[in-house]
This record gives sequence, structure tokens and C-alpha cells, in this order.
Amino acid sequence: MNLTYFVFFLFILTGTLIITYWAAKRGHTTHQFYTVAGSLTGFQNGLAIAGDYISAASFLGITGAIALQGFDGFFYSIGFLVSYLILLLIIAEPFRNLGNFTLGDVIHARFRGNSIRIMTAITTIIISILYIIPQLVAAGLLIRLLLGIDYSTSVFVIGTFMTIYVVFGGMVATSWVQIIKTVLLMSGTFLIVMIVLSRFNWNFFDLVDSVSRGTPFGEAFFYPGHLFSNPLETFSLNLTLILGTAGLPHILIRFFTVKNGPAVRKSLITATWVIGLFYMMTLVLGFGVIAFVGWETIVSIDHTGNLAAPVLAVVLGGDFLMAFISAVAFATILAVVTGLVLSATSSFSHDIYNHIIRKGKASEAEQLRIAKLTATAVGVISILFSLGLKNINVTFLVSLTFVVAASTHFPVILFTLYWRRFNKTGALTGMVSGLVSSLLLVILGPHIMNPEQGWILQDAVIPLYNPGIIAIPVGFLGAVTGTLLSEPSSDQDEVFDRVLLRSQTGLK
Amino acid sequence: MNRDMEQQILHSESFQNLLKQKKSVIIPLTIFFVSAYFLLPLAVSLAPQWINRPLFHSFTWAWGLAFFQFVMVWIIGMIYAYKSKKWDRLVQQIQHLREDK
Amino acid sequence: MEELTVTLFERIGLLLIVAFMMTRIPSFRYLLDRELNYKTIIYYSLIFGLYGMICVHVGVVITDHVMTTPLWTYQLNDNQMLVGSTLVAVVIAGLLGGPFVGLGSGMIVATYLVLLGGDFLVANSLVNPLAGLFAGFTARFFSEERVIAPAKALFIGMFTPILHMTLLLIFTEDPNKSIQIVNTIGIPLVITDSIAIAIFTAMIRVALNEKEQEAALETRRALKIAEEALPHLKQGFHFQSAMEIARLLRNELKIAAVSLTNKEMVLAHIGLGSDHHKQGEPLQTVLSFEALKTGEIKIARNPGQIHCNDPGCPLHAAIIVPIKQSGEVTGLIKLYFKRSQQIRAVEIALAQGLGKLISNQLDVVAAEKMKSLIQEAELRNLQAQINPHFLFNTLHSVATSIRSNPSLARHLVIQLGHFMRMNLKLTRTSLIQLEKELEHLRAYLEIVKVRFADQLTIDYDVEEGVREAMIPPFTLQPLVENCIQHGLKDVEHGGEIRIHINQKGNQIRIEIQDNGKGIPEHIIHKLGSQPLQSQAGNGIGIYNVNQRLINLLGESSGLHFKNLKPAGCCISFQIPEKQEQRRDVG
Repeated sequence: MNLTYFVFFLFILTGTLIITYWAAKRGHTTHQFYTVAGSLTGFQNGLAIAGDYISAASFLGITGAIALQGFDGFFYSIGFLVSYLILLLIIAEPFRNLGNFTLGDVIHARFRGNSIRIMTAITTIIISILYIIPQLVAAGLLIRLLLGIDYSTSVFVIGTFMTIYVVFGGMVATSWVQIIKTVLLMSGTFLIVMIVLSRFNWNFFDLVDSVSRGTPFGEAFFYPGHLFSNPLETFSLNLTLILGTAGLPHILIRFFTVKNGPAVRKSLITATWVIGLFYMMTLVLGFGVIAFVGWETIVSIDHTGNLAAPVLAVVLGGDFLMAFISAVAFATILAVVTGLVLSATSSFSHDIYNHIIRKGKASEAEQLRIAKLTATAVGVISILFSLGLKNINVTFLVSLTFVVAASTHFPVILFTLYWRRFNKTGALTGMVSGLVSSLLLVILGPHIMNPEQGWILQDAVIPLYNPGIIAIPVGFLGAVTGTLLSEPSSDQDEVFDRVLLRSQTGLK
Repeated sequence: MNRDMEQQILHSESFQNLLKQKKSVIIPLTIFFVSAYFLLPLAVSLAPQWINRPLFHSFTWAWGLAFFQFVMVWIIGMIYAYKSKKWDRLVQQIQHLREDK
Repeated sequence: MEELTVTLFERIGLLLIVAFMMTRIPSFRYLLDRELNYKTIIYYSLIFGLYGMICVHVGVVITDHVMTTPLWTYQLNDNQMLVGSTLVAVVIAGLLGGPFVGLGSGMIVATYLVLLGGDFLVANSLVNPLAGLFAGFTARFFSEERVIAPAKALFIGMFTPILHMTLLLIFTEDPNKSIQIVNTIGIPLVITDSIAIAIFTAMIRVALNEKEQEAALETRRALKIAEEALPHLKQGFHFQSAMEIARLLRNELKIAAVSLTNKEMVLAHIGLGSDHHKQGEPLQTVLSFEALKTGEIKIARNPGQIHCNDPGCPLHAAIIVPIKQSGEVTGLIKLYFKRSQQIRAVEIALAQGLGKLISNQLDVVAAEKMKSLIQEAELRNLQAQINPHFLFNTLHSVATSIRSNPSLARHLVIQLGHFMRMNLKLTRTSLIQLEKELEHLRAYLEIVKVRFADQLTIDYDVEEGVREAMIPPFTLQPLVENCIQHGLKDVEHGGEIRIHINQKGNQIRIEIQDNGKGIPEHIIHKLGSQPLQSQAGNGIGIYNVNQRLINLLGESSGLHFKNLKPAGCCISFQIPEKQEQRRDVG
């Protein structure tokens, strides 16, 4: 085991534990545990959102994708970034004004009753766990590669740490781990960008020239490639990306961690700047890989491109730099999975346990205890899943998460906030149809049904890698049909008026 | 807050004004950025020759549109923040309405 | 790499020794406390810049992959590189003093490095101001405490060597060489720098804590003194209470001696030198008289200034604190020390605080007493308003004269009504115009003249222009009533009461004389300074009148009693012509 890597990883782990310890001393109420009692500043929260959002898939995956495929890789970045405008302009503030701790709270503000809460809890937990698994798997592989530690042990260690952060530190620890991760990620990436540019004497276009000569595609490297050959697939991917973020529960709960509307705006705007700048920098990184590592080399090392960034680091700065970048990637993974564990936990313990099982009568101490137990359970389940899926290519799970989020959560949130005629039945049918269609379409799609390496060795029924273009409209349709086919609720106007007033002005 | 007061505020000039202003800003902005966003994949799939013309250096118009969207997100963010400050004042007025009653 | 780490740790040990010594120097610790302004930023930058230069020389020189550890380096060749721990100094500077101090000290170190020469000059020097700036900003962002927690400092400290390494990779002519160097010194620097920064931060924290604890201790002591002194102060500033207070002060302050004085003599002296500094001794120290006159603290720094006659007196220095009551200096607290060096800023501040505290307590005590006096006067007067005897007797006089002398009866009734109305009106205020008090007295006298027509004559002599002066209500009437009740009690006829009011300089002199049997010798001293039970039991006592006069108008307005020859007594007092604003009591 290399001392350098070990030292860096150790520092990251110790640092996050110290943060957790400090957070544990502060947080003794559910308000603290779920939402830091709304005490983060807009800027800090923005950094946390960016930290929550930029996963290892973004950092490693997109760098690799840009290195291997040029424009196609950059394309994802656009979708990721623009989706934040949907949140900022349409969803964020009304959402915050209606709820307390979870998505369930928000929908419940309009539709009383347990069925909604159960449904949102289920979808949230599914999305969270689906997202955690590829992250943990990636982390396991990364640690095995760098430290030589066995995969299962790595997954176990990381899973345990993320659980500890949530159990002992709640949202406070989670937020600060994410903030620090963002700082590390941005500065680390920035430093490497500086190194890359300095080798070209600070002439960006020299770098570009070198790239256009460095791949077998030549100039065509800069043209959109095979990802876009199928217009349907392209459109589907883009639709999913722009609407997906607005349905991700771990991002949505970050609107509750600040104290008022303007702070929410500031958070989102900070996040867009951070995320935007980050993706710009990954462009330079991707180019750097071609320039310094070479296209053929990287393809032979790792055809998925996930190791492009660390390999670039080793070429530019030896083991030291690679260790640093790997540690940053590691921190990135930790931050995202911690946020996901928290969102799954809050959904279960707040929506299901507190409101449904205990009918809102649980004491603070009891709620906290159950929250911590839930977090432990979520952690354990995620670890078990990840251990089991060791050799499977699970990156498709990331895009699945976005499809589910976009088709299940987004239509319902949108209608809850803005459609008067919307009713509880519609909400339920919307969520069910979105969820079922996304899962079904993925199972019937080329990720799973693949004659060569799929779980089911047959041709895919629905040949769409990203079934968003079908699943999302289905989700919308389900919500609309369910609403129109059922009776309008008797107090529809009264309820919607109240929701409208509260979501737009905060007045209760 | 009881139903009557709710109704009064909902139908008050301040609140209606607020809704109108918000719609007049948010809807056009949304249409704009959604169109700009989908323009890229559509153009790439359906009119590749057009979008792949060089723009500057090795970058094509596709890249141009891509970079443009980054800047667009930042600018729309700033516009929204600026307008929101005005809306915040309107919301305060509405809150005063409630306190007066 | 391991060897380098160990060597660096050893060298950093030197740095930490210097750091520790720095935290023991009081002026450095004093500096830590000061508010950050233009001057402190410069001081800090200089100090830490200097420390950074020391750090340079504590480093290790690498010449073509060979590590050497010279004691002092003057110049570096182009193939030599200094691996120093300058970041320790610069980061601490930023953490403690903020971005500007970090920048400042960083620039000093950078300049020094440039002068030294060597390989990788740009990277090695540039990292210092950048790291200082960075440390300054992040400390603000992550922590609200005055000094950041060592654990957090550890992580900020870890990041700066990484910055250093990347700068080496950026600003280089020979990337391969850079890569090699980075991989050799990277981890050692990360480990050693971050730990050194954390330890230094911990040291500073300890130093600050000590200071805070000291301050807390002093505060607690001062408060304890104030609390325990209060019951004694309530008794007033006399021999007994002064002894107790002096004892308390000496026990708490643990100084050589404490003495309390009033304006003329020593009331108490506890501690060293009590064999010749005794109670009742008149004041000798010139500085004491100055303090009494000016109301300011005076410090005696040698025996000459203490003017003690005893050559063996161990008291060589003193702090003299005046005590004020109602704005006037009433006494002194003197804190004695064996040597002048024992008087530090702490002691002086404590003395000042004590002086103020005790003065305040005395004022509070006086205010309470005043309040109770006024309440007593109100109470008595309420009784007097419906005083049965006075009323019955007056009505009796009315009844007897109503047929024989209706106009006289009418006059009596009007005056009685007037008198009682004035009783009501005057109760609320603590001072009224002399004009009004005279009206009140006249109403009373009218009635008295009628009732005791053949027993008593009243001579009333009031100068013009005295009416504006302020006097406590129920002053004149009770005094006259007292003459009638006591002095003239057994006089059947020929009794005379003379009331003189005239202006003398800026004082108004008031005299009430009677030609009765005068005041008994054994009572005349106590009159006015102690309450006396009066047999008739309805008058507002002399004591009450006297105390109110003194408290509201000052010592000089107190009552003076004199027995006259051949018979009678005279009560006299003076009030200021114009009332300067005094604190309103009650």
C-alpha cells in the first residue's frame, strides 16, 4: 500500500470524522438533524448543493467522456447545468414555502392523508438507494485500485463512514462534508487546469490544436459523435437531464436548510456558478488527457474513461498529484452518498414513522432515535446491495435515477404547485405510473436486455438506453388522467387557494 | 388565517399584481431557455451540417451554442435574482395587509 | 521520503520551541488580544515574517537529490532547492491575523527567498503570500472563534503544501524534474507542516485561555468584594463598618494593608503598620488631601509621599481612592503595598473599580434611606391631615368663638381648611419653593395664634426676595410645632416665637427662636442625628427634618441647636439661595 495515497485518504477520513464530532455536539433537535435548523447561509448552502450534486460520475466520468468522445462528453454538462434553471424559476421557492423537512411534507401541504406520504417515501427511498449503489461500487473500485485494499472491505469501510456521518452528525455534518468537498474539488480541479495550461504556455488554443491532432478522429473529434446518431435517444437524454434534477429528493431537501426565500435563491445561484465553472474546467481536463496521456493510451487503460482524470494527474505530477486527485474523488463520493443516505433517512423516519405510524405524536427524542436507526438501516442495505453487485456495470443506474426522478416526482410537484384541478388520486396515479414505467422501460431496455452482456440475454424490447422520452410523458399522463377521471375534491378551491397563497408569499 | 382573510388577500390588488409580474418574467424566460436548450440536440440530430460549421478555431457552432447556454444560465439567474428583490417588497406589502386586519 | 519526513520533523521541533517561547512573552500575548487595526496588522506581519525567515533556515537543502541540513545558508545555487517550512509561519499568520497579515508576512518571506536564490524560485516564493491569503480567508469562513480550533487548522495547514506542490508543477522549466521533486518532498511537507501548524495553533489557544482565565478571576473577585461589602455599607461610613470593610478588602486583595478614612481621620486600618496607623488618627498624607479635594485617584510611589512618621513602617507605596456620596467626596480607601513595583495596571484598575463600586453602593444606601425618610414624612403627614387632637382643638376654638366672634371663627375655619389643603398638596415632592412652605407655615400659625392667643406671640420676619429658594416641605411647620410642644409647653403666657428669614451671601438663613425652657443638655447633641420618641407623637420629628435637609441640600444645611440665655432655644439652618440641580431622590 502506497504511503502517499494512504496519507491523503486518511486525512480525508479523519477530517470528516472531526466535522461529524463537532456536528454531533451541536445537533440535538430534529430540526437540526434534518435541516440544520435553517442556519446555513445562502452561499454555504449553494456550496453544499454543488457538493451534493457533483458526483464522482461527473468528475471522473465526464472528464473521461470528453477525453474519449469530445463533444458528446461535454453534452451531459449542459443538461446538468440548465436543469437548475427549472428549479430556480419554477420549483424552489414555492416548494420551500410549503414544507418543513421532506418532499412528503410539501405534497402533504395540499393533499392530506397517509397514502401520499407513503408513496413519496417509497419513491424517495428507491431513488436514493438506486443512486447510492453506483457510487459505492465506484468507490470500492477506486480504493482497490489505489490502495490495493480488497473491494468488499473498501465498500464496507466507505459505507460505514457515510452511515456514521449521518447517524451522529445529521444534516449538519452532511452539509459541511459537502461544502468541504466542493472546496477541495474546485481547488484541486483548478490547480490541475493551471498545470495543464502552464505546459502550453497559457495558450488555450495551443491546447486545442494539440487535441485536434491527438485523436484518430482528427477535427471530427470536435463534432458530435455517435451519441447523437439516434435523434430519439438524444432528445430523450436531454429531456431527462433537464427535468431530472427537479425531482431529486436530496437536492430538494436542501431548500429547507436555509432560513428564507432570498437565501434559497442565493443557494441556487451560487450552485449554478460553481457547477458551471466546474464543468468548464472538466473540459480543459478532458483536453489535457488527450494532450498528455494520449487517446490510445487512455482507451487501453480504461475504455469507460473513468480513470482518465487520475491518469492525467499521474502524468502531470506523479504519484503525489494522483493521490491528491484520488482523495478528492473519494471525498466527492463520500459527500454525495452521505446526502443520499440522509434524504432516504428523513423520508422514512419523518414521513413514514413519525407521521404515519406514530401519527405525529412521537417525542423529539424518539424521532431522533428512529432517524438514527433508519440511517443505519439504509447504510446497511446499501452496503449489502453494493457488495452483491460487484462485477456488474452499474453506471446505468445513475441515468435510471434521473429518469425516475423526472417521471415520478417532477410532474407531481409541478401540478401540486400550479394546477387547480389536480387532486390526490391524480398525484398517486402520477407517481405510480412514472415509477412503474421508468423501471419497466429500463428492464426492457438495452442496459438489462443485451444479447452479449446484459442480465437478460435477448434483444431489447425498447431499444432506448434512456427511456425518458416515454417515461416522462407517461408520468405526466398518469397524473392528468388520474385527476380528470376522478371527482374533483370537495374542498378543491379552498385548498388550492391556501396552497397558492402560501407558496407564493409564505403566508399561512 | 381564516378563509375570509385568505380570500381578501388573494383577491387584493397587491397579490394579483405579484402573480402578474411573476408570470410576465418567468414564463418568457422559461420558454427562452428551454428552446435554447433543445435547439442544440435537435440541430445536431436533424441538421448536422448546419450546426457543425466552424465558429472559432476548432470549435463549431454546436460548441458556441453549448458555451452560450452556460452564460445564459448565469445571466438568467442574475435577472431572476434582481426581479425577485422587487417581488420580495410586494410580498412584504401583502404581509402588512394581513397584519392590518 | 521517510527520511525526509523524520528530518523535517526534527527541524520543526526547533521551530516549535521558538513558537512556544513566543507565546510566553507577555507582549506577544498582549498583541493577540488587541483589535485588528492598521498598526497591529503591520506588527503581526513583521513578527510572523521574521518567524518565517527563521523557518527558512530550519529547512533542508536538496542538491541533486541529496539532502543536506546546513545551519545557515547564504546563497543557493541554481541546482539547489530549499525545502523549508515557511508555510508554518505564513499560515499561522493568516489564521490569527486574517488575510492581510497572511499576505504581509508572506510577502516578507517571499522577498527573503528571492534574495536567497536557488531553484524553482517563482513557485517557492509565490506560495507564501498565496498561502497566507488563503489561510486568512478560510479561517474566517470556517470558524467564528478568535483562534481557530487546532483540528481545523490541521486541515487548512494540509492544503497549503499541496498548493506549493502544484505551483512547483506549474512554474517550471523542466516538468520531469518538478515531478520528481514533488514526489519526494510532497508528503513529508504535507505531514510536517500541517502538524506543526496545528501544534502552534494549540499553543496559542492555551496562551489565550490563560489570559481569559486571569481576567475571569479578577472579575469574580471584584464582584465578591462588592457583594460582601454591601451589608457593612448599609450601616454608613463609621468606625465599625469601616473596620469590617477594611478587613474584607485586605483578605480579598491580599495586599500589605488597607485603611479607610473619612474627610478628617482614619476610620480603620487593617494589616501591616497597624501599630502606628490607628483609628482616629488624623490624615497626614498630602496626597490624601489632594484626593479628597479633587476626587481623583492618587498613587504614592515611595515612603516620602506617604508621610508616615514611623521610620520602620513597611508600607512604601499606596493607591488612594476617593469615595463619593451624592457626588461629594466623603472619604478615602487607601490600598498599601510594600513596594511600588507591586502596583500594576491590574491593581490600579481594581482600585478604580472599587472606588466607583463603593461610591455607588453608598449612593444606593443613601437613596434608600432618603426614600424611607420621605415615606415616613408622608405617613406622618397623612396622620397629621386627620390628626384628631389638632382638629378637635381647633374646632373647639371655632365652637367657642362662633357666637362671640363670628368673623374670628370664620377666619379659623378658612385657615384650617387652607392648612389641611396644603398638607395634601405638599406631600408628593421632595423640594418645594420657600414661598409655598411659608404659606403652609402661615396657615398653621394663623390657627395657633387664635388658639393660643393669650399665651403666645409670634414674630414673623421674612426678608423680601428669598421666596425662590428650594426647601423640603414640612420643614418649618414641624420645627415651630416642636417649639410649641416642648419648649413652650409649660409656659402659661408671655411665650414668644420668633421666625427670622434673611439672605446672607448666597445662602438663606432661617432661625426659629422661642423663649421656653430650652432643650435638655443630654438631648441637644443627639437631636437631628437620631430619631427621638416624642410624647405628643404626631409631629414629624426633628430627626426627619434634619435628615431630609442634609440629604437634599447637603451637610451645610443641617439643623443647629443652641440654648439661649436667659431662656429658650434657637433652631437655625441655611439653605442655598439658588438650587443647583441635585439628583432627584425618590
